[in-house]
Amino acid sequence: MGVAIAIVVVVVGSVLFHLFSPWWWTPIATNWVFMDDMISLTFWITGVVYVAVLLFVAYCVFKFQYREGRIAAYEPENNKLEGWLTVLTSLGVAALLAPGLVVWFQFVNVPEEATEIEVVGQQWSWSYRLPGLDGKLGTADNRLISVDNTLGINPDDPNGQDDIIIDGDDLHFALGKPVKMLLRSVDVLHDYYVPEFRAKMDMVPGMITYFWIEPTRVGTFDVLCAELCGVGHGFMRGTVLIDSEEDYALWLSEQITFAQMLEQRDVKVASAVKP
Amino acid sequence: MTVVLIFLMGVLGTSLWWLKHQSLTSKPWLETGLDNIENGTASVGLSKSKMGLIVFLAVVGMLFTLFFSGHFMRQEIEDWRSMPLPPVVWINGILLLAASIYLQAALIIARKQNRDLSYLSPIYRRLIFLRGDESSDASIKHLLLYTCVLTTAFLIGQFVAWKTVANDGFVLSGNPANSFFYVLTGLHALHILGGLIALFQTTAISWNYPESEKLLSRIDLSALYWHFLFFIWCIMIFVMLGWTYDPLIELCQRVIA
Amino acid sequence: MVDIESKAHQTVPPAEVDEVELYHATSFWTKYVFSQDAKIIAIQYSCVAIGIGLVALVLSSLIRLQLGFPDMFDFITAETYYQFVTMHGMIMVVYLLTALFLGGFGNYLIPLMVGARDMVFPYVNMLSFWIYFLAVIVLVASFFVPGGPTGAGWTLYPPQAILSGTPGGTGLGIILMLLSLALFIVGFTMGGLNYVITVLQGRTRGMTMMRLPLTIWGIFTATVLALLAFPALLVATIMMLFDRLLGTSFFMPSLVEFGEQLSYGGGSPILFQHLFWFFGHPEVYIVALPAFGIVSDLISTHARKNIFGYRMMVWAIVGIGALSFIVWAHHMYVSGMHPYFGFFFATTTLIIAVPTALKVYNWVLTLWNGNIHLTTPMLFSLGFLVTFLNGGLTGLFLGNVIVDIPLSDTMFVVAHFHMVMGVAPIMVIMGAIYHWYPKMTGRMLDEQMGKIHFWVTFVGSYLIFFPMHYVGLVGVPRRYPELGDSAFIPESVATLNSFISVAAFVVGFAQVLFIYNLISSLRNGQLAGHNPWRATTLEWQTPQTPPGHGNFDELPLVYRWPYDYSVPGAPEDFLAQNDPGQGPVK
Repeated sequence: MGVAIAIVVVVVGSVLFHLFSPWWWTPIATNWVFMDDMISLTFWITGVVYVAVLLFVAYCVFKFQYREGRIAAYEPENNKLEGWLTVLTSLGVAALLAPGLVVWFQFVNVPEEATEIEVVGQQWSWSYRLPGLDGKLGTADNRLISVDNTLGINPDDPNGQDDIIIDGDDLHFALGKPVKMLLRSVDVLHDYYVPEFRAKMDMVPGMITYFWIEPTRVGTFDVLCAELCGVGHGFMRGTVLIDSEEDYALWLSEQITFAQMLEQRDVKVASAVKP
Repeated sequence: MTVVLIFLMGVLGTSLWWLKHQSLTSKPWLETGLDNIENGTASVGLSKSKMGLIVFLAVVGMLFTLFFSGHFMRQEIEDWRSMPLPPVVWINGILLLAASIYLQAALIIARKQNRDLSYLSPIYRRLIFLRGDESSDASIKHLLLYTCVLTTAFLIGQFVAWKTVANDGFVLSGNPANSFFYVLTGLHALHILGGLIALFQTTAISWNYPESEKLLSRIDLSALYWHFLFFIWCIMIFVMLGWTYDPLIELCQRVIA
Repeated sequence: MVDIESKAHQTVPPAEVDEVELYHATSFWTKYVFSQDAKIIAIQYSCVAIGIGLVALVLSSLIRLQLGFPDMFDFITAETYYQFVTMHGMIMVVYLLTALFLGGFGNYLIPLMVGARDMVFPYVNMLSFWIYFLAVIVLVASFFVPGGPTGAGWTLYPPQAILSGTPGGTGLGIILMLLSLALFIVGFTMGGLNYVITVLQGRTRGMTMMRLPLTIWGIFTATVLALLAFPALLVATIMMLFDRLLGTSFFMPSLVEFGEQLSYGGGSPILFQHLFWFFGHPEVYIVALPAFGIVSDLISTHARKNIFGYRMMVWAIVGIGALSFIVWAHHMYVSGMHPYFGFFFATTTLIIAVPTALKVYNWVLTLWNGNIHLTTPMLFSLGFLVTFLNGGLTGLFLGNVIVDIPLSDTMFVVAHFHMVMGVAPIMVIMGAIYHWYPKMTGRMLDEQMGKIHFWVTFVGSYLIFFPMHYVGLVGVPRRYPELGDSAFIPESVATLNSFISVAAFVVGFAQVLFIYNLISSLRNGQLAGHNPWRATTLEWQTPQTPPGHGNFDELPLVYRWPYDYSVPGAPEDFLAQNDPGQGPVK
């Protein structure tokens, strides 16, 4: 009796916890509402199974607990029952898988009009590069990294000259403009993680990975690293902002390009040498 | 990883084929007693040690397959510089093949327990350096000894191969092709070395206790092990020469990269 | 219709299995230390595994101290935190669970349950244990080297695992970790060959594959998986050792560490992840399948009812084992591998849920119409059902690629795998120890203490890991020593973390009771007799308890399957496997 009650308490407690939990996902700021919907759907299907199976267990424990003289049934199998259970389970699984794969297809196929933003991770900070007026990012290589060129951008690539460099500052997005995030790492694995975006992806040195989003809500959000990258992992943070289009244009006009950055450095070096 | 999956399919296929013969669809609760059942005892017609070796070889095969698959995945990246194999590896291959053949000959003789070797054709006898008047015990001894010598020569040859490529500037930490060459051949040599130690014991047994029951079983196991390692060696050379570019592997690399 | 025939069974011919030559130890050293008896080896394996497991338990308490009460303990820095997390994970998964299920239960139960005198290669079996012991020593040694153990996470992902930004990365820590793993794999392979060949070739007369208890099916299949999966880890460790020590670039691309160009170039970190998870996912089932098998036997015995759908259970074990090799990349959905892999691996992963769900249904249906004795082993089995169901269902979140994207690398994942691969198998281990301790020692464990132990452990673990899912849902990433200042994390998460930590300490402390029970019952436990649970399988039919050297006087003959409980018309509510009395006409 006590055990059966305990199982019921576990079930009811879990459901109540789920319903009244103040701990829930942060409001979404991108187009990936489908991901939230899929989580909800999965909660529903698995929740029903969880409750049904455990209540059945509780009933069995209550009903068939040892009693003097009780004899258990002799029932090696029941093909029909097992067949039905297999079919039902397969249906439940298919109901989760099919919509999941459809959304995944959207996730991996970036819309044509998306603009590119490069994110560079290194122990333990984030930097960014936006394509300049030509809309193209120049090539880059970890071998080219030096004190003057912390992101390893190829100085000989004409496409890279007008790239906008954001080193140690916040990144801004324009509301409603889809963006393809190109992810690159200088040293070890990182993972560009903004909880409100839902989407995230590892950054692997030697590779360029990607995901895409369409910002849907103005605000300021935290960037975290979600792939263990050494002792500073927990402190590898940044901030991103989603701006209205005017604010974004204003912000963009204040940024400097790769060519300007190199020039400024040259000027500094030159003025340091002169006197 | 496609090669790994193909290898696995082989192993799992064999297991499932075996399981199929274990009457997996029977209803065991309906069958009581000893006599109306099949496969009551040891159900594989092999000795325990042979079965043990076969399972072990499956594990070793898995190990090498994984290395090969790493090799395939890596050789696709453009900075891969294939390494010329030193000519001495071909001599080594012949040495290992010869060792394998000698061991097989010892096994054949040990299986037929008759004293004279007249059933062996003279040409074959000539080929394996057996004198016509030798007893089977003596020839087993000699064959095992030859195998030990040949295998030792193989190991020395592999060492020479390492020295040669290192002198030519292909060092371990250079191009990944070199790294794979050293690691693969090193791992293979380690396995040969392990087998060789066991073979020394077997040879000692053949000199001291030629009548021992263990001898036949040990020769049997050694022969299987040698054939297997020769087979792995051949594949290894194929892989390292880059002769494995077939459409299937290309497809797998495209998918995996 | 029931009809018990009294067929003359004296006509049955004697065992046809060849009597094996047993090694008879004579001195204390060969009997108890360098023993070749599987039962002694099993106890050695279990004691070492539980010992090192307790170290990992202490580490988990330290982790919870930091998470529940950040900034209160100066000795836990980010560096030590990562070292604790790494060692906790690695010890629990490999050195405790794998070693205990296969080395411990496998060694003890396989020869007894299949009716053999010992493992087929006792000498190799002994070597297996000592190499495992050496692996544990090397692992423990890494705590005491300069720089401490590695803090790369139990996944040891390169490049960070061998770089200076990670604790132990450039010191000895990572080297010892890799060496220890390599040793473990060598030792395990030796043991694994024994387990497989003993099941294949050592069964007694009448013991067909379809008369094997599910415990043996689980351990057997898990061993096959382990033999095929561990080489992948071995390959990865060898390559990483070369990268670390000899400057090769198997896994190391060209990279810049803190502004300094390193000489590595061209390697692929993703290759390591493929190799690691090609081992890592079957590893989940290496732990789960023995648990599945054992819990089937526990439920059946203590509910006095045959396991429901035995054939389906066997097929499910084999099917899950085979499928487990083609789902590995579901751990890598966000790794940057080719996105089209997501379709394949999400599908295979969710397919594997079907046979797993069937197993759950069959355990539950075994309870239906049973005669359930709520003994401690039964309670732990019920605890397993609850936690495994919970963890299995959250697996459906993470296996479905698009749902995994927001949840991956959050505390949700941590909660999921602890529930399904930590708590659930440990419930089975506890239940199994309460179940077989009487056979191993001749004395019962104290039931009263056992029940207290169960309730505290079960309720406590549930309170730790159920709310943890919601911490992950909020978006808190895993492997963070503290929450930091993040707008999306409400203050209350810290409170919840403290609550979880307190629950964790209570559970940790309850294990002292268990250890006390294990030790004190050796002397004070009630005498068990040879078959206290009235079970059918062969290990309970030995003439001596604990079984002597060679297990049986004469090898038993097997007349029936292992689940003849409550057979209609039988004189008792169980018929042992070696009981020739005819069953009912069914």
